[in-house]
Amino acid sequence: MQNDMKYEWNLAFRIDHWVRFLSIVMLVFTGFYIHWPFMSGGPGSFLMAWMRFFHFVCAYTLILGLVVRIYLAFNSRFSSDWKDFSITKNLAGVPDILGYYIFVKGSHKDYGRYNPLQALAYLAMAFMVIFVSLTGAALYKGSLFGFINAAGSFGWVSRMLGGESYVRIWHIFSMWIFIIFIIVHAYMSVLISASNKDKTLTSIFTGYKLKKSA
Amino acid sequence: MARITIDPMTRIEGHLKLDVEIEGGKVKDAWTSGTLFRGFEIILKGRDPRDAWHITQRICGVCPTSHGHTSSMSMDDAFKVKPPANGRILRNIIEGAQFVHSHILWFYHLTALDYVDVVSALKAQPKEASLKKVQDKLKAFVESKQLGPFANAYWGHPAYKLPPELNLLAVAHYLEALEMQAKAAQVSALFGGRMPMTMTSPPGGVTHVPTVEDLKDYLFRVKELQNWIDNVFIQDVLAVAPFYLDYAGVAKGHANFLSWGVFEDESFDPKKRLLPRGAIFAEDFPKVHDPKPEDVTEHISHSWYKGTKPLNPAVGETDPEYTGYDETKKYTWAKAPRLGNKPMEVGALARMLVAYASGQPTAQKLINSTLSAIGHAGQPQVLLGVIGRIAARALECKMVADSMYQWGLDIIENVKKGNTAVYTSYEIPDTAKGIGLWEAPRGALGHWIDVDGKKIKNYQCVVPTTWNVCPRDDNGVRGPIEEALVGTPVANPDKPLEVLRVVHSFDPCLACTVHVIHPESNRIMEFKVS
Amino acid sequence: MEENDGITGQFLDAVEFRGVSRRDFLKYCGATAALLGLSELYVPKIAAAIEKASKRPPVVWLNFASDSGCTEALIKATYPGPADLVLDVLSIDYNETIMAAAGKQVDEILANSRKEGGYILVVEGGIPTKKGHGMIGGKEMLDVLKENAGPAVAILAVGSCATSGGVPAASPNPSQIIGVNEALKKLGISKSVVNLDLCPVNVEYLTAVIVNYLLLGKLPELDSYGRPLMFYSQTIHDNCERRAHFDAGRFVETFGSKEESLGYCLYKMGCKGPMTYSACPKVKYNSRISWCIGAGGPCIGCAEPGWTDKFAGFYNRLPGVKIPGLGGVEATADKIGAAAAVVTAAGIAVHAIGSAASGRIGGKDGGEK
Repeated sequence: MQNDMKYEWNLAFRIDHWVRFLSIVMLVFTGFYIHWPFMSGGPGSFLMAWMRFFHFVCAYTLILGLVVRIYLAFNSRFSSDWKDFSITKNLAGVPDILGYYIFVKGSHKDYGRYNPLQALAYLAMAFMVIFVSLTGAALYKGSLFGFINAAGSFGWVSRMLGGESYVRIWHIFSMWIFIIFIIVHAYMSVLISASNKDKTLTSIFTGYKLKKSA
Repeated sequence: MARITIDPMTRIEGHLKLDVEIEGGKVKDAWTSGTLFRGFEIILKGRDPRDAWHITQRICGVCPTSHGHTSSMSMDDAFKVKPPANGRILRNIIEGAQFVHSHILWFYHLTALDYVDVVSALKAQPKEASLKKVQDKLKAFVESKQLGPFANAYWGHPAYKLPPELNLLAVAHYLEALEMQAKAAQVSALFGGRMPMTMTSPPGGVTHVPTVEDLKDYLFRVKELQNWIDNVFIQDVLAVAPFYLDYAGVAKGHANFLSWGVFEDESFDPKKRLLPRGAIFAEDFPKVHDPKPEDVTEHISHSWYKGTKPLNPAVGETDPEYTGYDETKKYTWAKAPRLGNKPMEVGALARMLVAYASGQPTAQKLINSTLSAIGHAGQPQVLLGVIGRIAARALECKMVADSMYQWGLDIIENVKKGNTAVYTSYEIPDTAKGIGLWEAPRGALGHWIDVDGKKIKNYQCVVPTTWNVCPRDDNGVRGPIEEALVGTPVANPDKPLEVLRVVHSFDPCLACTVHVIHPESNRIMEFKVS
Repeated sequence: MEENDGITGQFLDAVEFRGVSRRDFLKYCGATAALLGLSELYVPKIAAAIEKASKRPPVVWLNFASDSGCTEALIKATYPGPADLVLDVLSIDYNETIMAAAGKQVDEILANSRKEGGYILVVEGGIPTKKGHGMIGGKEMLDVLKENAGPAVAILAVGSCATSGGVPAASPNPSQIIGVNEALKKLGISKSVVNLDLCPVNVEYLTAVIVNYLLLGKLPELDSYGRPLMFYSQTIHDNCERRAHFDAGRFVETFGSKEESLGYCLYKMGCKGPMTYSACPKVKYNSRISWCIGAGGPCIGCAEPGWTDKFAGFYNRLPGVKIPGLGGVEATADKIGAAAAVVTAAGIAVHAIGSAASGRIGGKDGGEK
């Protein structure tokens, strides 16, 4: 049995994946509350203060998660996969894989760990993390990482987007993009596991995927 | 025949240009022109209706609260919502403080310098130490050669008639009044957050539940204002009046008066407001008629707008088209509002006359005692004109300040009974129409709102100074200020002090006028002989 | 300290002579010192700067497309009171709303000011650029600004209209009104402008900037929008008296409610405090008697450039977003996001059905052969 399995994700990749996932979930939840406080705090409560605290903690975590992932992409001894995210190479493969997913084609070529759409989507999400962090930093009034004056260093984001109301609107749009990504990402994992029968879905927990039978 | 243009007309709000034709030492004809267009009605289209009460306050920085309240009332009407008792009273209080503030400011700082010769005050020989101090201050001021706002006025003009001592007293009170108008504004700010531009009267009532400290503070502050009005303001008017009684008949104008009424009572009936709704026409003075908003039309044949027909504000249009100044055609940004095709004078005189003729007891008492004091008991018609406008503002100021004290007590009474509500919730309907008819210190103010899809579809305001400063209408009938100016004696066309007196007696506020129009400010006085 | 007392005493004598009470004057200087972030030690220096015996600083105050609300605010000053401010501290040589002269005489005053120069130019109101929409004395307002900006030693744009057009410049800006900075740029005049955003201006900001100028001979440090950092570096939210309730998660849901009377946070009523930079909570209005949020009125953001449109509707938390391609249809960011998520979910459902129907999933072999 062991021989049929391929070690797809080592521990570092898996932990990094789940840390980012959990921080995003927490960010979405606390973000919703900060945007529209749907519960009231009683006497002596610090409900909003805690929500904001966790929002900031998770924001740092997400940023660090991305930094770790980028480090792994270049330096992982297990799999430094930065070449998989080449934009030009992946764009060339889009018609093939897209054709398959919209039922125009019955099959698609064999790609490595990520098919072109996947690779592009993950790369886009990395940029989304950067964008949401910038808008977040522009809204943050304190000191970032304890030494960067957020208002002074990120005021340009606010000016570029036309004021803080609009920074907030972009920040909220970014959140919805994360939500939509997670929905699609989860669906695709289930879909591919079911169609390829290769345990794609569980591989992100166990690290192992079935080898191609062919 | 001499032709003078006063531009800018100063000591008014906004920019007004005035063209006057003089023949035989008297004004033969006059044209008033508003020269700034800001287009609030256009800006309001498509917005959340609740924003209108903030935005329309910016029509006028002198009477923002009146615009805010009128706007909120138009929405109260459209959304079918009624403010609770304390909400209604608090709006009256915020509005009342603005009236007091505005009347003090108008009398001492906008119009008094037409009657008080500041330079002559230096010749006075005061006995009281306090007046001596003011005179020293004035001396130092003049000697500094930096005359600031007092520079280059018509000092020494023969039409200044007060003795030096009275001039000095008036200067002292000019300074004191600067502090008092600020104090009156503080009362608005106490419940309105700030003044100008109060923040707390959205549709439905007011936002804030007053605290015990607020109310205690309020009563103390109103008492101070009341004392000052009784002992200084009213006394000054009575002291100055005898020297200018020859102005009693001057500048009567059309003698048609309109008041929509202001300061709501518990019945919400406009005829029962502290200053009630009513219209008085010259032909059956002083019979009170019931003015209907449907009878209001705005003529634009002499204003810089596209269109031809006079329209009711409910279906009004504002489509600007500047075609240059030509008094035979179009010469102003102000439209010409008419009630049943008649030009109407609005303001404190209109309100006090309507209140007097409707039998409002306080107004009757105040006016009767004033008429007796000047030897015209039972003859309210002597109030028509410049002196009447001044007297009406002073009396109204007292009447409002006295009522404000009572309103404070009323709130306390309500709170004692456990009635603390100040706001009624509502849903914005998908489509609705509403009218708010109220009074600014300068006169009758109306806002018409039309909501569609929860957004403003159309918004029109007919504001006090538009009534007063408007141009000729489709029938060539002059606006009230134009008409009032006709016949005014002018001793020296180079220093037309008498013209200033007439214009100032209307307390024009040009930002309002075109809410849409800012009249051209009268900067240059040209002198043409034709 | 001794030396300071000497100076203080001397100046206070001079002040008293001019009819301002010693107590009032010290109070004013103390308030100004606090505003400028200076220690009490500066009080005598401020007194000295104001009382510079020779000449009161001349001020030319021009009114363009405004409603005179800022002139109204000026005469609501606290320390110094309006009478002292207008007569003792400043020399307000030109302000159409309060000056005694009219017509031709007024024009002479302005011409004289230009000849002497050295005045502080205060501009109230934006500048209409559409022909005929804003004229003074037969001249376009833009030309009036051009004429009078040159000889000024400092230019202060007071109120939202002067800084960026304000309410009358709100969409669709019928008279094409612009702020002073933009107008000067258009006129090719390069002069720095101090922007005092707020509608209306807070008179304490104005007097503090002028005192700062008299004291140090220069204008205060400005932020990227030209606003003095001493007043515009922190949000209203960060200094708000209701902030503790925000942190606690206690919010007003209806005006005039019990929550309001307890001073709960107005965040859910559309308060723009979190995105508006101004010292309002500290300086307040009308002799510090109250201020918007203190009286239960949510902040409408009037201290920010681009107010009003950037903050309308005032009672919503964020402005609506025009959806491109739908001709002016507006929605909130939440609704747009939620709609996109629903569309995605629907797409997935269709795709899943498609996948099952095509046999890619469910029982049979995978699609990749």
